[in-house]
Formats: sequence, structure tokens, C-alpha cells
Amino acid sequence: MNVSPVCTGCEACLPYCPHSAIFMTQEAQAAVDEDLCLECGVCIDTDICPVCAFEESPGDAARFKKSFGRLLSKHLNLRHAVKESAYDVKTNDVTGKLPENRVVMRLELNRPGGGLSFREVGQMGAEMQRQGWDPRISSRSLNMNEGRPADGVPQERILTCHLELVLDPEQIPAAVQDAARFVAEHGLWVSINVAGRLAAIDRTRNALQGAGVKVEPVAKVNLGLGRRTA
Amino acid sequence: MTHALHRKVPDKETDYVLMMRSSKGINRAGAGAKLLRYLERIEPLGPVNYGNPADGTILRVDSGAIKKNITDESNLHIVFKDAESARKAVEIAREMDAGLSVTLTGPFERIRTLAEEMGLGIDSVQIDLGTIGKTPFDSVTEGILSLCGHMRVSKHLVREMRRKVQAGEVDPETAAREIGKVCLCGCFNPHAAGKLLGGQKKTDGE
Repeated sequence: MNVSPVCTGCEACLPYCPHSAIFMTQEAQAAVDEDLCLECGVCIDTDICPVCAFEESPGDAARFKKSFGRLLSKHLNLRHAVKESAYDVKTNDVTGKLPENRVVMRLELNRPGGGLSFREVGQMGAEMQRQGWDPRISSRSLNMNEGRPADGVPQERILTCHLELVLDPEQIPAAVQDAARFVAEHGLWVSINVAGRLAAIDRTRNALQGAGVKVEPVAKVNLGLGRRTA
Repeated sequence: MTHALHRKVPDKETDYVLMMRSSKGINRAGAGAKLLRYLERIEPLGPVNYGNPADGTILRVDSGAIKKNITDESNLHIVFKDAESARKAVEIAREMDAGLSVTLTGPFERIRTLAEEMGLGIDSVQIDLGTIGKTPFDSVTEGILSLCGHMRVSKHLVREMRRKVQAGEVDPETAAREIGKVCLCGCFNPHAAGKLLGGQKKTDGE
């Protein structure tokens, strides 16, 4: 992201950047710290700048075409390692990709609030592997087959990242405990969710209840209304 | 991303998110017209936000522009502030029988009951185990940040709006809508955010 010289230095944009990437120069003009900027586009989308001083860097536009390409542009730089999760409750009624008797646990690092590096993702992935789990990174980010990010990218900053584990429902409480231990040791936080078919989710809830792990009352529910029409 | 799930709203009954979408190669052909028809039918229910990630939300864009730009690839995200509106929205989806995937996020037991009463067979579920570890935010800021799962809401913007509300410079609803302008997809709930802003004490802060 760039700031053009038309910037008047009004500072209206400063609070809007989710990652504090906008700063004021000694010449009283806004500028963007490229190391912190995740190219989320909030500074452009909200029309907060009265003179439209923010502009995408040359070459970025093509990456921003897709709806959330803007948000994920940093990930898309890593094309060799991109892998999207196959599991999505939102469309499972027509794709049927969720396993029949297993569930998909996702650890969403530093959410809410966000902002971390692949180094931290890699550390957690490696730790989970040491504990005997088999994590994968999902959501258009790195595929961490070796429990670590690819060479050369550990400092890449991202909004969040999912570590994904496909498990038996009865394994979930132990996996939660290991994740909790990691975030406590590293001063991080993680939002955890579990996706699955209804019967597998009922088993998961029972296992969690038996282990004394709290389940929030809210869930995302696919109502089974989709069908093949083409 | 599970952008409609990990929402830290004190009153869960004020936050329902409905999503309707097609899948490539399965039910995409003609989906745009169905999405538009559905949107026009649920509008009278008074959703507090809706949008399409590609075109923005009613907190930032004219609703006519959102409708005009709906295509077969669009994902419709709609937020309701009460269970009854959400139930009616599901009823309309069932009546329309568009063949598109519909998910509803909200209190699970209530949605399960609703589905049973309507004779809907729940396909799959994503449950929320909450957030583990200590976040650097208090409950008001964390609650507002959680309403944008794509994490486009800045903590600095929340802090600024909290200050303005506490100082009486803006009302909570206006402040919530200003924060919600950064939402691209339509999942931000300005009603719930306004409640959080309005409920903070004068001495609250980070």
C-alpha cells in the first residue's frame, strides 16, 4: 500500500489500520510501514481519506481481484505452499467433504485481535507434532507438512492462521489441553472450533463435557438445504 | 475462516448470522437470481447488516448497489438481532427451496429445535470452544473485535469510538456503524456492537 503526495496529514486514517501500519512522517504526511501492512485494504475501502491518498502498490491489483484476495495477498505470495482447507461446514451439504465419523478441529491463532508471524505458527505446529498430533495449516496459507513454515518465510506477518487437525471426537479434549499449554507458555491466544457432521459433533460435545471442557452455546449450523442442481 | 462463529456477544440472542451460497459445479448456475430473490424477501425482516464479500455491506454501500452486483458466485451474509427474525428467514429459505447451502450461526440448541420443528435435517455443525489464553483486550473491545472474523476492525478505532461514546460525542449506534464500515462481508453486527459500546462504564478502558 502506498500513500500519494496528496496526503494532507489530517491523521484521520491512523485509527483505522488494524495493524498500526500507518504512521506520520516528519513531513507530517501519512506513510505505510510495509513490514506491518497486511494489504487488507481497510484504508481504501472505508473511504476514510478525504483526498483518497491511499493507493495499491503497482502489481498488487491482480492479486486483489478475488473477494478476499486483498486480505490474503501476503499468503498468495507463497504460491508454492498454498493449500486451502477441504473442510467447510458452509457447503458440506453439497460437497460432503467432512468425514463421516471424525471431526476437524481448528486452532485460530491470535484471534480475535490478530497479528502474528509464521514463526509462531510454526512453533505451535511443531509443538503439536511433538505431542503426537498431525497439524496442517489451512485457509490459503502454508501447508506445514514438516511442522514448520517453508524456508525463508517465518517472519511473514499474517492476520491469523488455522492449524487444522482431523481427529476422533474423543481425542478433542486432549488436543485442547495441549494447545492451551502452548499458548500459555508463549503468551499467545487461540480460538478453537470443531466442525463435523451432526452425529460426530454430538459425540464431541459429550467428550468435552466429560472432560470438563467448556463449549460455547453458539454454533454454525448447516441446515441441509443445498442440493445439486447442475 | 470461521468469521461468523467466535463472537463474544454477551447476549447471544441478539446475534444470528445467516449465510447462503452456491458451490462451483454443483448448484452455481442461476444462483445469483435466487440470492437476489431471497434478499428481497428477507429485507422486510429488518436485518441489521447484510452484504456480499465482493461488493460490501449496507453499512458502507447502498443496498441497491449490493443487489445489482449479485452474481452466481456471490455469498450472501445476513445478520439478525433476534431469534424470531432468524427463524422467519430460515422459513423463507425453506419455502423458496433454492437448492443453495444455508448456514445459520447462533445459539445451537435453539437452532437445533428450529430445524426439528421445520423438518430440516442438519447436515453439519461447527462448535465454538472459545478462546484460550489471555488476549490483551477487555471484554468490550474483545467483543467488538470478534464481530469481524476477518479481523479488519482496528483496536485503535474501537478505542477511539469508545472514547467518543464515553465523552458523549457520538451515540453508541453511530459509533458501532462507523466501526462496522470496515466489514467487507456483512457479518458485523452493529446492534450488538452498539450494545457493547453503550454498556461500557465511564471508567472502562484499556
